Amino acid sequence: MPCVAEFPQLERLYGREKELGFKFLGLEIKGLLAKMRDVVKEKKTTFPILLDDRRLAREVLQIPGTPTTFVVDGQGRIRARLIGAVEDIDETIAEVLKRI
Amino acid sequence: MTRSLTQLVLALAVLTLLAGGCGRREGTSALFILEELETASAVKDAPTRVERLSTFIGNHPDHPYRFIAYSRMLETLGTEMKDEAGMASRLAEALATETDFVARGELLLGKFIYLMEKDKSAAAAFADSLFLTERSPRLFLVMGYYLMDPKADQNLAVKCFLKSADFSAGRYEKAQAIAMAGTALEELGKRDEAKRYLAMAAGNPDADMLMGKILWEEGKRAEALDAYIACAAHMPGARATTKLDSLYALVNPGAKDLDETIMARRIGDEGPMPEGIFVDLDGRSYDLSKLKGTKIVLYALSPT
Repeated sequence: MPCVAEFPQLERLYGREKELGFKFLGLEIKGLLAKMRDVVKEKKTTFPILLDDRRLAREVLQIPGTPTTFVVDGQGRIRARLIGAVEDIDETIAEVLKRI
Repeated sequence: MTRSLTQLVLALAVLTLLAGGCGRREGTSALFILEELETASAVKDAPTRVERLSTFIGNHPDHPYRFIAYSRMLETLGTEMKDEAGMASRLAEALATETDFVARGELLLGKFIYLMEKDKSAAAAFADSLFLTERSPRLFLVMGYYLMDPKADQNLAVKCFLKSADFSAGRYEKAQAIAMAGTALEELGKRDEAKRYLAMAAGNPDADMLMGKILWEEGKRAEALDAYIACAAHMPGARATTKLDSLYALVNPGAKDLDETIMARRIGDEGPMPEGIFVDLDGRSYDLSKLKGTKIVLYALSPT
């Protein structure tokens, strides 16, 4: 479960919303509500997880798989697309946020 | 007792109206629909579950969550109930009414995956039969992934990937399909053809990673590193799997600019973030258009 494995780093990143001036949003794309809620409870996740009820990820953002991260600037433009899991995902995203 | 029940119904009606009035209705209903799907999917008795999922599809004939209901219904009939006749009949019934090509693709994918687990030759024949009638890029892409199994049909996999690329409207989706065609061709030993497709898909991390490997094997080290860097820019985990740091140090002794080189390739401008109102697991609405002026990190995930 590569996405779930990153949850502790993501939670850490979510805690830096104010410092880095951004909004963190998860987007569940498979419609697995019960499983998602179980994971949230188990991992004590506090960041918001949106439901993709219009196939935004697959048909509009064209993601090849999960996890895929999009970093959007203040003008609403997608400035980075990061595919797959990585150990230091929080630092990787934070570095992009600082530069856009 | 009756009075309390009436009060409860009235209170719920008022709450529903309030939710609509606050602009939360769209998102909240999405959560209700997903709750309904999850309840249907959780029914223990398989035949009853099939009926409940079928009812869900009937209740929401245009909702994207019907795609999930289709695949769960076919999976229950095929894998759990071993009811091939029932699966064929439900599939035919759904295909007769379903005109959305993406939804048709999901339905046919359900049958293909079932066949793949049972009889790879039958699955390949089924996949081949869809070329003239279907146009879902995801259907052909996923069938291609399955057919790459050496015990299946790798030539047909290439054909599927190229068909997927033909039907893909978006550049990322198209690049992924072309990258996979290149990957399958490399596995078939057709390196020159593989390189041609991988070059066409440059910028796709899968294509860049394989191109880097091929170029390194051919002794074209600088070009290989360039491909690996492109890969790591969009797939950060590839930096470790490709051993990029040590290869970079080998080619550029003493250089300390790898982090910066990757970061420069990582940041670009893909265009505007799509807008829309979404609901979270607790029913709270998020209007992405109202977040303009704020940087956003959107993490697409699955709990499995």
